[in-house]
Amino acid sequence: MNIILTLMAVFAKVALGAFGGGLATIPFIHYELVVARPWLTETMFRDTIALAQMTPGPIALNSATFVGYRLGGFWGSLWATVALVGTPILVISFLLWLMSLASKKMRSRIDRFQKALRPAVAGMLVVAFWTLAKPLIPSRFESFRALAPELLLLALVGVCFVFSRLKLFRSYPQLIILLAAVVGLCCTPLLQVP
Amino acid sequence: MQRLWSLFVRFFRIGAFTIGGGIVMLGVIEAEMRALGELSDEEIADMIVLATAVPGPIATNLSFVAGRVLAGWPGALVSVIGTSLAPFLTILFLSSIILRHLGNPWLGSFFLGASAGVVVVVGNSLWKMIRTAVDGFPQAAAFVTTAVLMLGFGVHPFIALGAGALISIAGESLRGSGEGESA
Repeated sequence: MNIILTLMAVFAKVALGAFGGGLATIPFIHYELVVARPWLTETMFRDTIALAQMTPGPIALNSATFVGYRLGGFWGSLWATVALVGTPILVISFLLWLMSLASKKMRSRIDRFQKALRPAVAGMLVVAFWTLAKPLIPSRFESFRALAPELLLLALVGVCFVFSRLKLFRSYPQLIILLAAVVGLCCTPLLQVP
Repeated sequence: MQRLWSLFVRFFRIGAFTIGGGIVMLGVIEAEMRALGELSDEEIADMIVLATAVPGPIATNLSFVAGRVLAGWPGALVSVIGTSLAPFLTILFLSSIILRHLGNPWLGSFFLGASAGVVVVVGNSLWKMIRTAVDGFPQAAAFVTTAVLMLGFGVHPFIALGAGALISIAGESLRGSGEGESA
């Protein structure tokens, strides 16, 4: 029971920080699940985000379901998801009530607030980017053999970047992730650290 | 009852087949609301403002608001569940498989490859966001503050976000009052 309650508390927090949608939640998920408590290793975190992005549904929702299942089975996944989806709904309900009291003024206030938040959200995205990109940067030079997997990954990043400029992938970034995953799968022998 | 069911089905379809994350879902839900023909453009715009200003997944927030407007609180509940159900079941199913094959090198390489793609997707999104949102000094200050607080000082994301937001909002209102004075 304890794990379920903690899961709910953590994902309620993640939900409340998720201004600006999907990708901006990544630093919150990372902080709560990797930094603040050792629930996920960096590798597990990376896999969670990848899985959450490849499948339909908001990234935060998918993360909650996955992590919840990992740590608390079916009920963990259910209640973590409920906490993530439900907490903002409470906020919305409150705002809806406020809006029913003074609608036009409230609306423009909310709109301005949201627009004002965007530079900070951009800051969050930088953090998200760095959290995800840092592990891919080679840290020590041991030998070319050891470096091969890392260089392969960097090359993959480069290829993905080029492809992402194409029109098809602009509309469906999930495809890039899926294709990159398949490439990774095919290169399994090459990616094993010797 | 019939109304609630059709609402549920509508949002279930959106949740199940919309690939592309929050912004795409926003567009899809908006299109569906227009197609319904029951809401004015202004009402739809209000819904979107509310759903995006509030923290949390845009898709479920918007589903909740739209469902509420269309069919009251039951409608809201039904719409949120509809949107969330397919992703939830999908991940549940995949999770049970993944957890059984955790040490598998093929699975590991699969996700490793995926993470390369994710870096690119996040990078592109970041670049787009910087180009549109950081268009002035207070915005740049807010942006840098949030990033530095987290990356340099490891503060809780809430604090970093809050600090950046304060700077940005302060900058906005200063700019507003400045223009007021010169006018």
